[in-house]
Amino acid sequence: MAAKRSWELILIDLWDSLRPPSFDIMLILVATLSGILSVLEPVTTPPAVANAVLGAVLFVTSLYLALRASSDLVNLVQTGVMPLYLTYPISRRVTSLIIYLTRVFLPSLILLGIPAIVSGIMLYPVVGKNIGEFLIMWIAYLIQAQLYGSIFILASNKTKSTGTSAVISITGYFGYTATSVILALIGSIDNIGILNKIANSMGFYNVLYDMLTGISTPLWEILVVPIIFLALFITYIIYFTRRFEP
Amino acid sequence: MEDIIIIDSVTKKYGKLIALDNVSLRVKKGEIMALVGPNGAGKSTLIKTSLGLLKRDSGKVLLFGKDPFFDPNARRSVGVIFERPSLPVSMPILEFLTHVSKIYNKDSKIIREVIELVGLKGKENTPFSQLSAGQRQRAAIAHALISEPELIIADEPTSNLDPVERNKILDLFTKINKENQLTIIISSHVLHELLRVSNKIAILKSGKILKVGTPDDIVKNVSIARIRCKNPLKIKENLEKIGFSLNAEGDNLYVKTESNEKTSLLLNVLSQEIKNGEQIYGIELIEPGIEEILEG
Repeated sequence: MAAKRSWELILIDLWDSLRPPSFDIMLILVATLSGILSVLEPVTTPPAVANAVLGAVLFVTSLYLALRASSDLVNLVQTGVMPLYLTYPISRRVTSLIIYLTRVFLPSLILLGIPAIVSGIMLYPVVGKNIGEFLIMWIAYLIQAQLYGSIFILASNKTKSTGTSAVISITGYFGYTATSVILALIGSIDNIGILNKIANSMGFYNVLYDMLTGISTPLWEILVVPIIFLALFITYIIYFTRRFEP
Repeated sequence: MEDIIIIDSVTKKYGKLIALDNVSLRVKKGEIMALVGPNGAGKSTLIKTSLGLLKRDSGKVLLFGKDPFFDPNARRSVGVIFERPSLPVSMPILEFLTHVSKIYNKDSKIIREVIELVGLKGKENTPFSQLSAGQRQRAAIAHALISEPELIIADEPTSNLDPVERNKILDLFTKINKENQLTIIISSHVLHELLRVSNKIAILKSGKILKVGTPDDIVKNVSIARIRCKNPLKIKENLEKIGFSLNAEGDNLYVKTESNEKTSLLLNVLSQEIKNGEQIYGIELIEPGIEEILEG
């Protein structure tokens, strides 16, 4: 019974946030197109196919999550719909989890999943060599998207304005990626190996790509993104279970 | 009668601000309990604490025998209406209520029934954002009725409505209470509109319950006479001489009377004033506001 209740709340939140669906459809088309265009890439291994397609899609997905997880969530709280959800016989913790699912996990699953499927079909001769490796890379991108989504959804708590929330989230995303690039640049110019490793570890897909292509990877590099994500996710659940006391 | 809600010595603080100060209240099955108090009295905090949406600092809350903060199932037979009606904006009412009926595991025929009851027939497929203020409040009431609740909690449900809609919504609450034997808790800062619908009133101020009783217990014989006249200062002077307390606002005089004898005396004095040539355009006896009750 509790699962059925939760499922209906998931549907309410999803269907409401997808109206009007034009923006979402456009993004799905863009994601599909990037999968189709993967045939133009000179790639020879499954991880390289994943990097070629999903790198650009992750950027689009992150911006989308900044709107859905951050800006829209502020709107949900400010318009009083969230307090209404909380009057249902569903616990605050489950409601927090539902919001994460509808605002972060499902959108990233769909936006990263469609181009992965399309490129998998279009470049089957390459991907078919080792579907497992392709799947591992896809999961790496999905985990990276969860990291950004967790930051965005936590950022939404800090503001009562939808616009400010979106700006904070997008700035946070660019700040994170720019930090990674700057560390890599300094590391390359001054030949400081640890900076290169830190920059590399900030993208989970980089670390897994290295592993799959036989480059030795220390354990801490593998753990950076998943641990930060898990810490943020747990913080979100604990914090929002309290935050959802309107 | 069975207690639906038991609130026992509840204190809730927001930082240093004490929003509820050792509040105790019981609501029995079938009652329409009005929570009345000025803005900031703690009405909304009391409602949210009763629903388990806010964590109390101390005290006990039982909703249908369960602590709603720890057990969300306590809210299974409760319909809630907030001050600003908020349903998902883009979803048609019928579709939204269909999902909500499944949350409460109710048959879909209830949806048509509540839409008809609240007077939204013909608007089922209209998104919430396209409804008028009154229709939105009706949609929120329909939403609250979907669970076939035993208790409805309405937090200032009429505050954003014009007088005509306010009366219609209050009449709807009375109808629901009579036809479905529902217990209703309704809050407002306007006492007189709750006097006609409630059978029990709790007056709150600064986080404390000052009085609880039937409307007659609360109001007793306090009434306010509004006198519209040409020369308010002269009449004010004459009334003050014989012990009436009153306020002048423009051409209006507001006189508080605390017994039938005082009201009778006032009318006799005014009658004499008219005989003496004073022009009095109108005399109206109105129910007291919350300020007069608190002063009394």
